[in-house]
Amino acid sequence: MNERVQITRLPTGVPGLDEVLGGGIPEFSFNLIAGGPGGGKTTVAHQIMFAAASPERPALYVTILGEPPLKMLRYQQQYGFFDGAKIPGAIRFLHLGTELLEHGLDAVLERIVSEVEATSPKLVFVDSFRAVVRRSMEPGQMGLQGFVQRLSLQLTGWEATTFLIGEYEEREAESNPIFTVADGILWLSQAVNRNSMVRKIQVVKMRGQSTIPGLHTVKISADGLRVYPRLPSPQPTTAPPPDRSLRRRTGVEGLDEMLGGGIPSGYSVMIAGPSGSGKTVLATQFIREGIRSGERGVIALFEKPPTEYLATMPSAQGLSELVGTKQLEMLYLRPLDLSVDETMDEIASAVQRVGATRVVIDSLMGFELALAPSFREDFRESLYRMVGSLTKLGITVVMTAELTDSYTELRLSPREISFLADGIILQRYTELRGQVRRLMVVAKMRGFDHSKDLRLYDIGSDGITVGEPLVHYEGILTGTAHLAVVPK
Amino acid sequence: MRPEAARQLFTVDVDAGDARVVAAHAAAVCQLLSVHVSRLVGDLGMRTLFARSLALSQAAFPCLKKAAATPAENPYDLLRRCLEVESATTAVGAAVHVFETFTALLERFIGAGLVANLLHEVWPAIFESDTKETK
Repeated sequence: MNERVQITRLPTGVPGLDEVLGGGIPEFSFNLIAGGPGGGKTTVAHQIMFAAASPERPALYVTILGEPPLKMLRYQQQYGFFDGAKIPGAIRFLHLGTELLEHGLDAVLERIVSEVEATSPKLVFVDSFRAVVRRSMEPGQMGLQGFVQRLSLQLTGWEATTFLIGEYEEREAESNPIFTVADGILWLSQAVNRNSMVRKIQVVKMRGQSTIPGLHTVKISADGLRVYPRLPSPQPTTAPPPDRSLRRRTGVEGLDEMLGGGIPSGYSVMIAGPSGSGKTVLATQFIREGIRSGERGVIALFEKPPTEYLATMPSAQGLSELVGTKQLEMLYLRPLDLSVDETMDEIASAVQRVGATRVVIDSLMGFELALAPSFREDFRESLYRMVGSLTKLGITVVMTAELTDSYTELRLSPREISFLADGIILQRYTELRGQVRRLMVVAKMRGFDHSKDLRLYDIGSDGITVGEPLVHYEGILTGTAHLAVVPK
Repeated sequence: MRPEAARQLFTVDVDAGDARVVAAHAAAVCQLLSVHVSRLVGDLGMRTLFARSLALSQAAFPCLKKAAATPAENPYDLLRRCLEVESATTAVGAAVHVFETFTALLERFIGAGLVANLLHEVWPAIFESDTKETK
């Protein structure tokens, strides 16, 4: 008797949610969609219903008290998932507000049961269940525990997958019997931080399934909800598995030698330097060199939109043709309430679309500014996850970071994020023979030998040209180089 | 398309020339409609929209004023009582007007597609369903 019951999982129709749930909603489960107002509870319930309902798997949406059904239908129609052709064949509505107000919980339960027995819906939604909870507290009413138990048994017995929708506070989770009886609990919330608002979803519980823990960002658009899993599972890619013996050349003669032959596959490099030092020029050259050798690239821009970038950056000349031939995709991610998960999803999707092996993030400071304030607190952790998710797919990531020159200390990156990158190329200004010159050094290449030379470089119409090592100078990093005194 | 269908819905017994038959039929039609609409938008939503339809139809059919003035009573009974003292032709015209006003109001809230599907569900021989997606 080793044969285990197979649980069918229903797709939710909410992008990203099935992944978070561990495959979808278990059939015949009794679920709670909870959270505060404005979190998207009714919308996610409708989205699941319209995705899962069919003439063979009919749905019953019971409204009790709360948002008037007239308005609910009016607003829900604005979403792309709303399919009026499914009403009433696959989806039926039943309003029981009057039953609750005039006859109490017994009448509500009786109506739901008789409707279920008459029409055998496979999906049942009760919105808002909060009204039932309030009514159960009145004298002479059936207790909430009894109501939930009977409803759960009845609906499960009729092989219905059930969703109770209601506003709850987190502190209620300990004492409310619904939380005990429910097989699954989805918790939606929204947090306002300064001038931005972020919605999140958490699978508090989903019996028998391996869910992705934690809070996942939710966006609501004209298409409905979209969930950005906190830890996205690795996606298939055209890129080979990370083989760090494979080097990706930057296209900057001299720099590739300094790096030991180029940047390894599945490696991350930060180009840190002051304004105007040529960070974007170098990053663009890296992308251009990859495409020249048959690879594909993605540039994620956080400061300038692609049109402005292409029009104003001398190093970007010709890139629009590469975009046109789908060898390059340029993403502009500038809204100020981005989440890291959303950014990762955008970049990962672009990588998939073009089959990219090279990704440029320009710039990290722009990325941080584009995040909603609540995500900025976790910027380092978020960056670590994002870079890790790309490099483990064999993608080489180049990031630019603005770094104010300091002539009293050697700083490798802003905000102590240098440890997140496998390699660091540092660019600086220095005074040399009456001129302000640019110089670069490969400050770090984790696990690989690299040049320790400080080398001057120039930026011309063809990009960066690296010059000779400054072997005869000292004090270069203090900003004023002088000839070294060589002992006789 | 719908005005002709609505007239068809309310004129089944007009040949009898008896306004009482027309009025009783009109009340029954509205009562049946309310059962289906209430499922979708609730009893209160149904009654509110119906009361507004009666109020909006008074300009064209002053005989409906009595129905609109007493909202506490069953609105379909009130409609019946208003119509049964009119001529059969007027009764049909008023019933069609109220029905048209009501469905137009409902469309404004929940869209023409859902309303078409709802009417088709109740009277499939008279109203066509909306086969395309409602967005």
